[in-house]
Amino acid sequence: MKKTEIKIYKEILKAEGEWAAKTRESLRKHNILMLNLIGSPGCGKTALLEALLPLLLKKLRCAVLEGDVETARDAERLKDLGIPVSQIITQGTCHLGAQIVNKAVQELPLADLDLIFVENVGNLVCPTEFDIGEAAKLAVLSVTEGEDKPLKYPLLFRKAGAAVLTKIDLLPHLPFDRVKCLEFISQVNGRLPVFEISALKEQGTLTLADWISAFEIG
Amino acid sequence: MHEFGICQNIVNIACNELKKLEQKNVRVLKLRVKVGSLHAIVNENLEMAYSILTKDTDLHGSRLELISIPVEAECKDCGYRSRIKDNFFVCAQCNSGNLEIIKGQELYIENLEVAYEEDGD
Ligand SMILES: Nc1nc2c(ncn2[C@@H]2O[C@H](COP(=O)(O)OP(=O)(O)OP(=O)(O)O)[C@@H](O)[C@H]2O)c(=O)[nH]1
Ligand SMILES: [Mg+2]
Ligand SMILES: [Zn+2]
Repeated sequence: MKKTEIKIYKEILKAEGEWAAKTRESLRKHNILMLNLIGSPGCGKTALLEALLPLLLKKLRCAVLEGDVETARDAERLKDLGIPVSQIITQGTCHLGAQIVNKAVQELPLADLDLIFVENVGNLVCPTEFDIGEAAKLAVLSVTEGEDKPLKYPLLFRKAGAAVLTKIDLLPHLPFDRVKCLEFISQVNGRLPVFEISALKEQGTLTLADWISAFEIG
Repeated sequence: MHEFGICQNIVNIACNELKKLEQKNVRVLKLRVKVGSLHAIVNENLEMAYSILTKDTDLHGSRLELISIPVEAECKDCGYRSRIKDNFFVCAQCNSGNLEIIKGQELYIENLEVAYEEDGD
């Protein structure tokens, strides 16, 4: 027997990247902004959409892709807004893949849209690794999770286009150190805009809606 | 456990490369993957996924070697390049947070180590 080394040098996520590029291309053609919401289970992603969409719908035509491991509950919650909402059930997978998102995007009425939100599967780590063709990721962190999360999960905050600190109405009841949290975020990514929001009390939602409306697709 | 998804890609790519080989009776000993430290990949999870996903493939019995690449960044304000430690993405020279990552985002298969039979063996 002989031994030899075979050089390969192949990108592992190349296939994923190609699907993401296809999606990006379709979105560009229709001048649609796609935002990818990433955060832990229960951090308030759906509530954030419920609070933001009525504001955004005054100016923009929106749709939502809901990534969920098992149920269609989140999609049900958004249906009353009268916009296209598609459910992508990942059947246990911890993130949305680029190919399945591409299929869901193609099934939307692209000619009649300006903005697509993707609510990724509730998870702070895995979805961050996968480009799905979005213009920007939004890192969603609730004040109930602790101020150290940006340091523990830096990748999301490095890759995000903005961070959203949710449930700030709860601050008076929690030991959460807001200043520390903002410091940690800027330590991980000094260029990241941070929006502090309460979906429940509709605080900070206008500022974020304005930022989204003004977002320039790169 | 996104490591399974990543690993499935590794297995697909490597098996494809193996099909292209001219050598006969090839047995894969080792597959080397370079992982930028910015990835949130737990080595043990990836290794476990590898042993499971390679079971019925030509990679069966081979070892996954993971080599991590440290994170390096360049300051967009003063141009200083530095190694990032403890997730502290701040320029060591001018304190700016305006950094561009130049290393640590890699994720690729570098090589395969194989044993094979020579003609006439
Ligand atoms: N006090 C307070 N509670 C909130 C706020 N936003 C969300 N919640 C609560 O947090 C819980 C989870 O909110 P969701 O919007 O379902 O969170 P999610 O991130 O979509 O959850 P998954 O999709 O399951 O990952 C619910 O009980 C909400 O009522 C907020 O601004 N303030
Ligand atoms: Mg939700
Ligand atoms: Zn500098």
